[in-house]
Amino acid sequence: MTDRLKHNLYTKVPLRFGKDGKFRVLMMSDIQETLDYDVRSFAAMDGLIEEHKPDFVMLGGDNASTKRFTVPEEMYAYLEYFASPMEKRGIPWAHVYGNHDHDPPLDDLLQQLEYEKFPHCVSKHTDPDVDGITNFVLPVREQDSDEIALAIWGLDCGTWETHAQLIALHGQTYPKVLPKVRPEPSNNRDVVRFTQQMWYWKSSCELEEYCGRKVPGMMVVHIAPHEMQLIKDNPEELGLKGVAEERLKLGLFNSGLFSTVFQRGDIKVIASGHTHESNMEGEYCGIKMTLDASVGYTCYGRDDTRGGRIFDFNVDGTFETYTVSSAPYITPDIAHGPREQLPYLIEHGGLKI
Amino acid sequence: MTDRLKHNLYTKVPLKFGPDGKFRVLMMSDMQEHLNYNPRTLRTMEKLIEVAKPDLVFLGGDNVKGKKFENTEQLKKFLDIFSAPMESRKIPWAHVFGNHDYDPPLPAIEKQLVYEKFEYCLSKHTGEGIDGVTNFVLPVYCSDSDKIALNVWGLDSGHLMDELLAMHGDVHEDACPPVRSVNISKYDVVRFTQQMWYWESSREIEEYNGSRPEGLMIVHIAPHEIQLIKDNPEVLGCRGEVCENMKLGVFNSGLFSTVFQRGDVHTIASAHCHKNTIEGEYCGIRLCLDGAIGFSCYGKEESRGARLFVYDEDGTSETLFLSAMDYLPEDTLKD
Repeated sequence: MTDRLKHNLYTKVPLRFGKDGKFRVLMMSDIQETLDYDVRSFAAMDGLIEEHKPDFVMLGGDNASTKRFTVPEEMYAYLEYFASPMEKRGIPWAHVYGNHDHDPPLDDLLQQLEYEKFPHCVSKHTDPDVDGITNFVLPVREQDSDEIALAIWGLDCGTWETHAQLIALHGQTYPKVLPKVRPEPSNNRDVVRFTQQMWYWKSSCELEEYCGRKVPGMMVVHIAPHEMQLIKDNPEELGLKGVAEERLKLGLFNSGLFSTVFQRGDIKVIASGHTHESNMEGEYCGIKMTLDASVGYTCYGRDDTRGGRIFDFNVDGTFETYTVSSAPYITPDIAHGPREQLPYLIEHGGLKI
Repeated sequence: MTDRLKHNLYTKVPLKFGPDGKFRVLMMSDMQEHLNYNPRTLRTMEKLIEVAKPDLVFLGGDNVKGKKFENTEQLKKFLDIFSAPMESRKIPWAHVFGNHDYDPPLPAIEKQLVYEKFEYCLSKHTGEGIDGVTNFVLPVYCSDSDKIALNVWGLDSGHLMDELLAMHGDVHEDACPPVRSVNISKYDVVRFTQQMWYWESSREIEEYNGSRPEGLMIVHIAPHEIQLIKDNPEVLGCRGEVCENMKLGVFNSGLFSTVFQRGDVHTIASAHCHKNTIEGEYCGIRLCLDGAIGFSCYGKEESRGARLFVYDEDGTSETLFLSAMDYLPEDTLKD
């Protein structure tokens, strides 16, 4: 067994299908809060978890507005609060980074280690020879055997900073990098790099060999593949559902991630966040692609789409997905969006403006 | 040294920059001929080789009209004729397959072995586990040292999308939805296993060489990003003509993104659409097309020709489309 396979098979808390043969994932993205936060963001997360009772919670990136943090301890204090809906119920959870999670000044890896300290956080990270931090796979086993029925993949979509390094490497300037006429609404965001795709490919091949079959997978990456635009452009043919008005703001290049995943043939759904207003889904060439709107209330968004997305998996790898609104948990007493400060912030001198 | 590196470093005939510090590659694509051929195709190849004086001739795919070949003897006979312009002048040459080179009935690997028997044909192929056949790298050494200054990469763009789509059962219907922003068509893509082979090979060669050689990559069907050049002619410095739909692979394989991240290849040269001869530069990488050299296939008189690349040992390069009309008297072009 390679070290990579050993690492890939490990989860701090075992993940298993329930007695009913189901495994429910609740994905929530773009919390994008700070130590000084809107209480509605917490109420939304806590309410969604309480009502939908997921077996697993996935934070889909932009989990914090990282530029407002200065030391890793602040991230721990932040997560102590924002991960408490999962931790207090003993629900395993994981996260991928979004572009904002890479914002300076926090070191990407040190920040990751703060997440991984939580008893029910099953996130892992790859070594430095693979780009990004939050690249991992989580095997979910059958209820009554050790057979792996589902693999949940996380990939790190990078950020502006790494994107800028990438461009600098080739001595390029913006007007030429993002010319006016582009096939998809690409932006100044990084892409899932080739080393990450190689890591996924090799890991997936090893997992197939270990299990004796291809393991159905769900892939979570903060910024959607470029092919999401095809679903917007061909709503009838590709079965568009949900709100899709917002411009997608995709990575600079088409990284080929969709094509890679298609060729590998194990991933059934690619789930992304990033656009706070849209919560669309559709299917292209047998692969479902979904967005969830933001669960956070400080960042921009639309109150009619804010919430999460449920994935109900069956042991045979089939699944259903639908969006869940956080509106019911915004009670009249918090509807005006009161702000509070976490104890850590108060102890350390309160909000610095 | 890994077997892969050993295989990658091998060329049947050594390639070296000339005493003038230059290396000239003449790319000719879409001959798309068979044993009953139009002699203008052969005359044009001869003439452009005389004019361009290449150190390497590269056939960019759709080298034959594949379905007309029933056995390897016929292909051998054909290549005896069409490799003569290179073989008789002892000019090393190589090829990649285009979609038509996959046309039935002959298996691709059998065709490949016919090519590789020619004395000056440097084409190689990858083995099991890597998609496609014509995947290889040809190292070109400095004029006065044993350092590699240029890698010429060939990648196989495969055949039709059917084989690719078959991986997911019945998805044929929605693979090409009506609204698409690039001119995709029914073709396969450079697969992920090929890109991994390129990435790992490139890294190994860099380590072996102690520096990263410049790269020229030839693949029959262009990366999707060629569409950006067409759509943003001024800002991306588009030159040449676009007279037909690009007919690209069904997905964006990410090849451009991969090559950009690896940082060694600064030119990706393709063929496939016979009437297009454009070139331009996106994010520091030149993307270009070379019309068609064949006269039996569809095309346009102005876009029949070849593309010359002149490399300097320092890795810089220039390229020029050579139109047959400019070099051959009109009467020899008419048959």
